[in-house]
Amino acid sequence: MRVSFFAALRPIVGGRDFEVALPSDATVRDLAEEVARRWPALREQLFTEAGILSRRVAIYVDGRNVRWLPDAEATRLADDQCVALIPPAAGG
Amino acid sequence: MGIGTDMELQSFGQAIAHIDLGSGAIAIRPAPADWVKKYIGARGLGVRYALEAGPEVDALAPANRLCFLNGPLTGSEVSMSGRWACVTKSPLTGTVTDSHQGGWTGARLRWAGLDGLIFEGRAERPVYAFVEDGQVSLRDASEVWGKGIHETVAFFEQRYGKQNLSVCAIGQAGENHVRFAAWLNEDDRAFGRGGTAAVGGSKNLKAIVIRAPRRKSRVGDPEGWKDARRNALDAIRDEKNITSPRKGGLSVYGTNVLMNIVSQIGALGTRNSQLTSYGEKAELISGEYVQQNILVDDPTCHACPVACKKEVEIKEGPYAGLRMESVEYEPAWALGANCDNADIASIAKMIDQCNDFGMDPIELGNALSMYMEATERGYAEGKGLAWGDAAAMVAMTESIALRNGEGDLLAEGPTRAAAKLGHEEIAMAAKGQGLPAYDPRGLKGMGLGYATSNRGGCHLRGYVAAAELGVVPIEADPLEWKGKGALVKAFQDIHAFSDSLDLCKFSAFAENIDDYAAQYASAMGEKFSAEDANTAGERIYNLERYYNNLAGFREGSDTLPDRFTQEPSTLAGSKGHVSELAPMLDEYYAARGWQNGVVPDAKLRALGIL
Repeated sequence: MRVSFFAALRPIVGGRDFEVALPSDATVRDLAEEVARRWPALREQLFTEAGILSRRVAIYVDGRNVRWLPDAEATRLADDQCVALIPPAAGG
Repeated sequence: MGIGTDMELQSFGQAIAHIDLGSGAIAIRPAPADWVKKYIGARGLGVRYALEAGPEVDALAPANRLCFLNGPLTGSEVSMSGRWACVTKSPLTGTVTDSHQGGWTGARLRWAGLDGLIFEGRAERPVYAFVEDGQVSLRDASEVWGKGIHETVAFFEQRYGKQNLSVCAIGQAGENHVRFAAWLNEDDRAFGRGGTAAVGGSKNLKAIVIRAPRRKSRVGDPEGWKDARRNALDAIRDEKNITSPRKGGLSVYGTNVLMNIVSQIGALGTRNSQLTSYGEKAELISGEYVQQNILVDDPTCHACPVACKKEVEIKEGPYAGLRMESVEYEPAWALGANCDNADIASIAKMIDQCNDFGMDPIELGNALSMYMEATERGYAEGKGLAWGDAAAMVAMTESIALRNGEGDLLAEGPTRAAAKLGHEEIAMAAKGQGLPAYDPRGLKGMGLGYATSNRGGCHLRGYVAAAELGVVPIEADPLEWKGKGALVKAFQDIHAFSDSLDLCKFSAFAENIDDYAAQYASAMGEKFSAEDANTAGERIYNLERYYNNLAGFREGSDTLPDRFTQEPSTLAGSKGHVSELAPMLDEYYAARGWQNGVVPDAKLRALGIL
């Protein structure tokens, strides 16, 4: 699965797009765990101390923030979907 | 009487200069105390002054008022307080308009001992206003009439010296009454929207030149002031906020951090909003790309630790050697994805042209993209303009500023130009002002904000994107229309208050209404709560709507182009969505207490406007 990183996450992971291997029934939560395992510096941005997905990084699947999807972090992922990890951003 | 270099400034609103350009008469007097109490300053106070000329006034007639006003926090020690407002009747929209600049010019006006400059009439010959030590004089501007802003700034810096000097000027676009002409200060900070510089041009007013050293604010509650400022600064510096210096996205990448993100969610209008994403090409005009490839400096404004401005240098190609600021999200979108132009160097060039000729790059991009679609559909006159033809866009930008050839048509703005071509439906505008960089199909609250903005299509009246993108504690699903009516109203009212203080809009990414109220209360030495701030914001928003109702914007004036309500998005993130404007308006009017866009007299009386 292709995972894209934006803004301040890029210097941490060292690029924009990466292939991340996941089991066929993986969820958004599994993806976040795999990303945190591969880039440990991202763990504290991805998860709160209680282990809940943090608001400091938003995970988008095919352009939708998973927090607005019915199953949220339990949403199942398919290989052909595009995942983007995006830190909070706004401007004029 | 001079104000002296070591004296504290007097409290806000004590010295507003009224300048009759026709007779040359200048009077300095306090703003009416009840106006300051009700309308705060900058935006709110400016609208109240503009109303005195009558809402039916022709925007380019001598009787229209051109009001430059500080807010009570402008130029103070409060963080992000380097803002001031230009308020007038817009020649682009026919509504009242206010636009705000960063930099140091507003602060310098305050340090010079004045809080406002209100121009009426028309000078016989080109003039500039020179402000120093609490006084204003009108001086001959014939040597700089016809010159661009960069040359005009250099001329005055040569004449008066650079130290403690600020210059706010119009370029050729304002002189030629281009309907989206903009005032620029310090070469590159704009009163961007609404065509305020065309009003300056119509009055033969070329520039405002202010000389003043930094002075300290006088505040009513010094202890409260210290605490309120520290709390606000702590919030701005908090690493969790995007304002965090050198760490937050806004500080590191500037506003253009949004380009890739908004494209990802299917809310980036592309090819005159025929599409909702710029796909892989968004990367080439993004904040990340600029930071990696052409960024050379991060300039800032008065009292701002964020430094969101991005100065770039183009090292190769036809624009090699260009060094300019600032490649912002809005112009990078307007002249980039919106026109299918992925050449960042040409975008920097056109932004700099706008800074020099004095034009709004959002409106320019909308005029160009409208004409590109007109060309594609066979509606254009003359040669037309092809999607993404960067060299032709640069040439057309100059033609617009100078009103040459097809440029004369586009200088009227996208709505008037499209109407002249017989196809107003391809102008992506609300109340005649081009829409900014958030497609209403992918960010539904922003669409409602565009339709109900009192100055025409605008993202800054109520920046509900902050909730829809999840950067403030109130979060909202960008694709859900329900609940957006009350949310948009709340954002509009808060921004109307902060624009009247006048604080940078980006302070809202860290501060809240309590911070705003505390800073205002301590500055003025008055009790003033968050509830008071919300009420003042609501009053100001209703005052603007009252002006517009009197100017002819009646029932049914709050609209969006049919493209957004009838043509579903075809791309990921927002695929299948349109803007549900009608039910959102019902919610919004219920929250406002308006009748289909018109403020009832009872509401005006309840807010103390009548």
